[in-house]
Amino acid sequence: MESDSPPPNRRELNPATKLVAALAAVAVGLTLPAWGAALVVVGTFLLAAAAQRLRALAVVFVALLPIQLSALAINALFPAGGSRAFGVEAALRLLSVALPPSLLFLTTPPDRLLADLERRGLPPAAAFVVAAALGAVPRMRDRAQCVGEALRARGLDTEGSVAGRLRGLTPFGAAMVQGTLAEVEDRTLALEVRGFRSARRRTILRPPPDRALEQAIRLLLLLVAAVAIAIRAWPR
Amino acid sequence: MIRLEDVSYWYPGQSRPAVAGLSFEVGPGEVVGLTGPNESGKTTVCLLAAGLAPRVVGGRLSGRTSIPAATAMLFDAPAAQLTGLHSTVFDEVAFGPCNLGLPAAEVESLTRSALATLGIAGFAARHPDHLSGGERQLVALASLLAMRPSHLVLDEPLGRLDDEGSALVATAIKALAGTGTALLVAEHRLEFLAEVATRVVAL
Repeated sequence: MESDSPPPNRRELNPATKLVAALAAVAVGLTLPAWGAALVVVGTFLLAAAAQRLRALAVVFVALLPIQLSALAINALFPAGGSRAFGVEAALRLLSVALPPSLLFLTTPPDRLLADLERRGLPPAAAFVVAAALGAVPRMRDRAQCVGEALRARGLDTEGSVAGRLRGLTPFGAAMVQGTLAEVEDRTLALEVRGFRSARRRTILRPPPDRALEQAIRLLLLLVAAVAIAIRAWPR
Repeated sequence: MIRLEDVSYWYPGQSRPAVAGLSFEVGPGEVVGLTGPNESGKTTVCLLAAGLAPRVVGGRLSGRTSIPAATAMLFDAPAAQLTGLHSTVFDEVAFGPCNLGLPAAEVESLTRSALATLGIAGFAARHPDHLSGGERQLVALASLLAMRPSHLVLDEPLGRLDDEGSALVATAIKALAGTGTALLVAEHRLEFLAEVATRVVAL
């Protein structure tokens, strides 16, 4: 039978492999010395280039710049433990925690992750929470755009002076929070009428491919993460 | 059959009922229109008739209700009806039948049929986020049709539709009623209700 749904991408990495890779990268970036964090950051950018998501990851990097620069500036003025290198290390660790999950968000459709986690036996509700988190970033971006346009239409200055923008933060934040809360209720009702809480086992259309090589890679990544945590926890 | 007898309903934390002393029923193959001015409680009645209030929404109810398990509801905000998880319209519409645990071939067949009924088979590969408001409304309705509900509650189904979309919805409603589906349609366009409804409840 001919299918209207998109054909499986044979080069597609299994979503669980990406999830484990992101978690392992965070573990390595947080636990090993600064070179571990640097390795994670460089590796993430190389993977982003391979996945043709370099520009999007660069946007995340730029968005994190103010925090990194403030960490560097504070440490330059008040060096922790007498070492100015601590600021560089803090900035690297921040990137190693933020960039791998960002790449996961940028390369993984939420429904593919949902399908894969469910196939592995994760309860649908738990899988939904993980998948919804993946979809939250673009939804928040769209909502922010709508709220910004609505506030501008009502005369709020959101693109002028710094003082004007700061004044606009309160109504913007309030609208974002209220909208998000309303959406939670709407989504709950929507899932209810779509049978999400049905006791039957969900049918999974086109489960993501999972190769033996990827299973081995996941085991290796988990081992690397465990070793990194053990090194950190080992008493010196 | 959907049946409400002398029903009053209070939203959580409210001392005044949103609906008071309401009684009506919707039988198989019937299309009951629900109309009334803004704030008259049309959406609340829809939530009650779909069994979502107070079970999911919360609040307090007095009176008697009989709501079949296979009752679906189309919300007045179509964007909220969609899960926001799927990258194609086809997968979005298939989400409901998948939740019912139907075989994959049947899920695909139901999904194709629902899309074709509303004239949006061509949307199958599109991303739900890239649709207009009216297109999303049709996709939201298709997502319910694909579940083949025996009872269907539609809250302002024409909200964002043009004449062509409205005609498709009218055709779909008549076809569903012809197969024995019970429909409650809350709508302020009386000419539409005159076309599709077998009787009308005014609030």
